[in-house]
Amino acid sequence: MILALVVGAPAVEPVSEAPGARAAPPRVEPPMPAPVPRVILVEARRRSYYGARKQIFAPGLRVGVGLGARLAGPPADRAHLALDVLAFAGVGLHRGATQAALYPTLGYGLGAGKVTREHLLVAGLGPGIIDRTGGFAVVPALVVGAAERARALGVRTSLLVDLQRQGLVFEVAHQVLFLAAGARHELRFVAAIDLVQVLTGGTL
Amino acid sequence: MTARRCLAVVLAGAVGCAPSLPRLERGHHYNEAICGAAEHAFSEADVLAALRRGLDPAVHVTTLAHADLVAAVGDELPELRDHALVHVVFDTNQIPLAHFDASFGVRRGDRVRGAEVVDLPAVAALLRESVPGPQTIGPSSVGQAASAIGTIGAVVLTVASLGLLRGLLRGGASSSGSRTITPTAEELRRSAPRASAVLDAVGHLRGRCDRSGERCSTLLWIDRAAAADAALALTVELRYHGCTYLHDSFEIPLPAGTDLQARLDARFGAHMRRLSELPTRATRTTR
Repeated sequence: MILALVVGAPAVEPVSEAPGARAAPPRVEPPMPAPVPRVILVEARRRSYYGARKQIFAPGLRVGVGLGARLAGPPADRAHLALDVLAFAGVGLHRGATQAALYPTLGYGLGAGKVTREHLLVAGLGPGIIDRTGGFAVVPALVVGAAERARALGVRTSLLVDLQRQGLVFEVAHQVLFLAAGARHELRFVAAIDLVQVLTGGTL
Repeated sequence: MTARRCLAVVLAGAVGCAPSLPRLERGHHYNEAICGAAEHAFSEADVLAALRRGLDPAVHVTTLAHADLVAAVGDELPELRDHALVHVVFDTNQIPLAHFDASFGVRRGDRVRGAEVVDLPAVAALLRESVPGPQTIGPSSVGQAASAIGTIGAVVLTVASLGLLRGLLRGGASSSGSRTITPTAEELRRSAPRASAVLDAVGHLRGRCDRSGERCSTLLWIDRAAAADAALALTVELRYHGCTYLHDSFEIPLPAGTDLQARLDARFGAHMRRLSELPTRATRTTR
């Protein structure tokens, strides 16, 4: 009601005119046509597809060093050097600013200590979340190769934090290797540089 | 995307599928439909047709009687006798649309004429009055001298400080000193009093048509010679801005009649007319 009164109030015209100034002429008011019925269409709620950021594909090659720590298993070094050279990618699964993603990973992993000598092929695929700044993922990977010159097979489960803009990848992983002497459990902490991001300046 | 392809994407772990244009139209996702046209997922003509159905634009056109203008202004305005002042009223449904605007003009024969804008310079030109434009004033000799001294001083200081003060001095001597003076409303009114009086009388009928769901009106000039042309048509242009720019253009041909008002009455009568009900010709649908 108050709004209607305000809207319906006549416009206040300025009345102070300079002496001799010409008064504004009356307005020409043509008859307004009869309206047609109008409706208000309200947009239904849904996640937009067109116009949203397309699926992200962020390839990388990370070279990282860190620490491998034995948790349980046959006697070996309590800690050793961990080195990875891994090709990987964040592959968005749908459109949007933040996307569910898959992180395929393939490469080489080294574990080297006084006793420890791991040369492993790493191949994994895991789910994650990615956006334009980076992403994170949990990547289970099959590892196969040699440990202390004996054939080794195992599973590495990594938690990846990919700071794409900075070209850095941090990884915390649990690795179990099935050796002749028993299963060896390790924790690996690796900090890596993503060479693709560093060399391309983040254009990929 | 077909249902089979969509199913394949879902099976592959994707979260969303590309919606069809009918689905977007049912949910009134008009901005997204424009983005779909930008990605070539839909044809622009189909998206424009969906936008037209959603907006359901309606228009009404009439002329302002010269006698009413004369009575309002208190001036015979003989210079305007050869021109008809056309009042266009336009409205649409209110739909969720980010950027939209409509404009109007006339087509005479095979020649499209842009809408003759009813503004102070245009009216003043018709009434043979002059309107001062903005003036650019250059720097005074004192200002030029001060600027030169400042430039030399900045160079000397920069060299002497081995560039350490470059950031502080940057731009310090670059001002040209020129400025643009725009005439005030009062100066314009003094220069073109008759044109100002005409605009005082009809200026409230000029508006922008850039919001869906709101009735708007605007004014056009049509010279009487054009008004007598049998092929005269009103043009309506709808422009949409979003992920891309879409442009829809119609013509509303006017039937024959004794004068312009009679022709407009025959086409529009006393009611707003939906474009979908008028005999329109789509003339252009482009980006």
